[in-house]
Amino acid sequence: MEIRYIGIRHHGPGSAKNLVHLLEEFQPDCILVEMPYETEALFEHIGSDLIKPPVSILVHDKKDPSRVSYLPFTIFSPEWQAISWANKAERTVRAIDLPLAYFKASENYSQGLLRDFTKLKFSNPLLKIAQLAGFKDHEQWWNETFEQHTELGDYFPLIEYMMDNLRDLNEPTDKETLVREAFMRKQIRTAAKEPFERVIVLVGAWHLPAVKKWSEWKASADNALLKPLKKIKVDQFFIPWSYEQISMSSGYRAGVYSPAWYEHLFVYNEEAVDRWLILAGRLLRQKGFVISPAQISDAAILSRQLAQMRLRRIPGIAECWDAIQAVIGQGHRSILNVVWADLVIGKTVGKVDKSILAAPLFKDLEKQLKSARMGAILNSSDRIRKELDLRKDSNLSASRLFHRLLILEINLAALKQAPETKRGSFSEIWSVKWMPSLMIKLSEAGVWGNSIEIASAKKLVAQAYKSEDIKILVDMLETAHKANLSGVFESIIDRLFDVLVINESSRSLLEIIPGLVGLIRYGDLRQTNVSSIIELLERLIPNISSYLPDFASGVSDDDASAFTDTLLDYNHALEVLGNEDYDKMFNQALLIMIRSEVLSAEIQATSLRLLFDKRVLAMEVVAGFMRKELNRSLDWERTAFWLKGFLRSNPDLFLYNKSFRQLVDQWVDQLQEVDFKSALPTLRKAFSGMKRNAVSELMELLNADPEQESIDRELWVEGDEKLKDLLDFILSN
Amino acid sequence: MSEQIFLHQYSEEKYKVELAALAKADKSPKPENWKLSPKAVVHFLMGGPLGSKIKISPKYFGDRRLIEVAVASLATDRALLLVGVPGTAKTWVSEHIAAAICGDSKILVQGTAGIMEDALRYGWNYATLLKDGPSMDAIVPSPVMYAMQSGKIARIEELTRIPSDVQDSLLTVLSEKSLPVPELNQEIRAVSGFNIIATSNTRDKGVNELSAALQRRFNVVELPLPKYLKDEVKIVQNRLDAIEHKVELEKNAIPEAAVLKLVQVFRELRNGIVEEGSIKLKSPSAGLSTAEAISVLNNAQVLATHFGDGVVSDKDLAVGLTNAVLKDPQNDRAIFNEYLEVVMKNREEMKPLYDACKALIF
Repeated sequence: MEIRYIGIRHHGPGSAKNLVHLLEEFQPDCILVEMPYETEALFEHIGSDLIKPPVSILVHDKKDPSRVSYLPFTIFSPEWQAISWANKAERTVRAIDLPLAYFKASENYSQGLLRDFTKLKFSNPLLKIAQLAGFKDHEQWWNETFEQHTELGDYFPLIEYMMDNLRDLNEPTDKETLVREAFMRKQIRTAAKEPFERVIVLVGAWHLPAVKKWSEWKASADNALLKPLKKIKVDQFFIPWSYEQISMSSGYRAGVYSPAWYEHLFVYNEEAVDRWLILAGRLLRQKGFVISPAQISDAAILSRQLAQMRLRRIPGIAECWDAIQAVIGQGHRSILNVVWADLVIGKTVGKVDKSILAAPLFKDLEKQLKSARMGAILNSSDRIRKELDLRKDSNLSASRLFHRLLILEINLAALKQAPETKRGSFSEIWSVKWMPSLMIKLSEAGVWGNSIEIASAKKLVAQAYKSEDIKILVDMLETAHKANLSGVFESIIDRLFDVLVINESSRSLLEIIPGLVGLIRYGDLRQTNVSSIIELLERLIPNISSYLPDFASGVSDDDASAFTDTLLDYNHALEVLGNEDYDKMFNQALLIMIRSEVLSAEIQATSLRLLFDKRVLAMEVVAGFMRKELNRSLDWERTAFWLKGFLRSNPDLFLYNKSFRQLVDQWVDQLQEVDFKSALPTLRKAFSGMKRNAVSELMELLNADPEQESIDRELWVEGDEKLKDLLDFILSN
Repeated sequence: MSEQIFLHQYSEEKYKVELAALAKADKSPKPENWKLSPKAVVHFLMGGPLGSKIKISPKYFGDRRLIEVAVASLATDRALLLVGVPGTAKTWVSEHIAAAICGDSKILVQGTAGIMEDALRYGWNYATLLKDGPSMDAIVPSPVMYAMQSGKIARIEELTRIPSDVQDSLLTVLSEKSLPVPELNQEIRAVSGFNIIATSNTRDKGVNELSAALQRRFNVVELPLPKYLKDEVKIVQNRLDAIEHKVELEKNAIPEAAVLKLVQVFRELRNGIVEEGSIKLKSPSAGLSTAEAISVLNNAQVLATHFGDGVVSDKDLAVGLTNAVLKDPQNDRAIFNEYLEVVMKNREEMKPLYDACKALIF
């Protein structure tokens, strides 16, 4: 039996290419690959039409899907090429690395990526060699020496020789490495006993010295190392992956992890550089640059000259970039940013056929997207803008799906514009982007249920029962409403009733009403059953109205402005409901408030104005209140706040109400100049809601309003000037 | 008669020894008619040890990449256009590259708005022309034509100052590598090794923009302003050392702290932001390039040597600094004053310079 040991770097196009050549020549009848043992079950799909790389094997703890590892593959991964060669040639291929199940059980298991399959492990000794060769970085050196090829080369013996000399097996290494290598040796021993004639052992270069002399290790010692390991149950399946993710997870460095570039090297061989530059030209043309084929060939020539000067065998990304910059980009680097991602990283997304795809939520997602006529999303890695018209059934169900995914924290779609305007109430704008990493989220979310609807509903209910904040609960109601999870509705409202006991008299009650009323208002559109909300309101509103004067008197002056807004929103909500009883209760509360001695001026004025707007109080009465307020001549600051509160709901009042206008005019008129100046900021805020043209209109009205016989002419002129000063000030700001 | 000392020494004279040593050690392939290989040319520009004994002095302090692209362009028979704001060593680089490639940096056309076609093509010796009629003998070659005939590098300074119609006479020179002489129905064909290095100032952008056709013949390398304070200080010091040597000023008349201070002030005003990145500033109208910083320091050095006690004081610096910054009396004064009050005043080490500047402008 002849066994050959091959050391590679994962995702190395040079390694992959040379390996395929070697396999063809050597024709092994058995290939042993450094892959977690349990992944062998998935090997049969590699190289078949069911899967198109980039893909990743996802291994997760069966009990806790959030504990995952992934092993990404590309077309230029040596392992991928070896396994698919074996499948095609019908040779034995086995995974010989330690099962991930063992790792998962180990105590020092952190989270996320357990093993980084993309980085060279042996950085320090290699770094020295790289530095000797004039490189700053060992990855770049390895890349340049072994991976960046357009032609075949017999590098494996070189790598083997180097590793034999670099790795001192007597030197202590980490336990993980020791255990893994023991397991690999064990697998080689097993294979050696079988009737194979030519065996290839394919491992990361660093492991070579430790595995190739397996016969020198005692089997019993290896077994002893493996015995204490505990095992857990894991599940594994293929998921689609993307070049973007590969470059992200491997920590992109120029020229090293650039999947699109590597793909060119692997696929096009000696044409790689030229084709890549041609692609650059095409992409730039798409972005509006005018680029002739002559310029591309000039760039190709320049890149070769640069490579020669820099002692590179072939031009790398850096040389190509420099050439494009000088020939096409007028010396500016910015031209490159436009196409960088497409050209270096690439937009390729892998494919995994439904028949072997194992995440049930993904299948559900696919089905639902299809029925919403958005199936294409899953085949693209671009960000897409979707405007949904909720009056259409298919759009409505897409909206529900997106909201459900948000509950599950699967960020397929982000809501860009919430329905606020009238037009917006039936339209939503979403930004949608499929990322293969969402597969992991989908698989994690599988613990909540087998369909997106069930999973999102269960998760929301679980969250609701953890919350004691009525505002958050009302938000959840809204979420449930948008996601059309009506069963959940009941549960959240139940929870709200529970929590209300604790919050009986809190101000947040007041604040949740507009949200709840909004749900009823848009309920028709979303076809949500709102009867339980109506029930909730029946209980809340009488309660709120009776406590309202109390809430209000507890509000500090600083907070008054925010409270007036709350009050106005509440009023608006009641208007929408149009329930006479509710109105009566509210009016009564307001009537108490305007007579209160402890309430802040701003809130009091807002209440008064509400009563006037609702025609509960006649103008004469309101004017009386106003006169009384304005006559507190010494406390101009309070008066300014009062005016602010009074104008809050609609600042244009003075345009059409002459009596009020004149009252205020008189007040301003008698202000001392120094007081006027101090009151100015608050007054400005009071009028700030007015539109510019409304202010000018008010100016004109004031000019046309001189008939105030009761007032001393001279004083009036002065006062008029002051009010005009004020308006000038507002206009100029 | 004693040997005359010239104010400007051409690169090939000044670095004769270095060039000879590089040529001797050069084993890489050379393009036809080049004195050095592209690699050695880059070595000459960037400096660094050659063998164990000789050290090549750096001529350009900046990204090696840019020089590599510049030299590679010339090696691939594409003309080179160096662009950048004033004072980014465009001419400096072009002179040294030309010297290293063909041993002759003197073949120079200075681009101006009033330049005629003759300067890029050829003129006539009217005496011969009248006597014998048109013939090759009556032609007075331009520097470009001379470079074509001798297989050397022609340098064109400030290409974009040259009127467009005159610029276009370079088209056939660069695309066909030939210069037609229609009067004689002949052409002058370029010998291998011929190429053009042009420079242009980004501040002149849009004045006489290159035509698309001409643009196509040039590879463009943009020389940036130094990215880091320490690089710029190094450039300034290096140049000052060279000037000291030449003008025989007292050695080390400029304390290192003064160089650092001045370069920092220049950078901050130019970039519109303080080095720490915490305060944004307005930039004055003056370019405030590295070259200007060198000239201010040199000026201060002369003042100190001839009128002071030999060491550059903050007063000497302040004179040069205010002159360099205040180009537009109204705006620049306000901008500079803001810088003085907001930035300089609050820096312990700049306080004397602040006082000196204040005393000068108010």
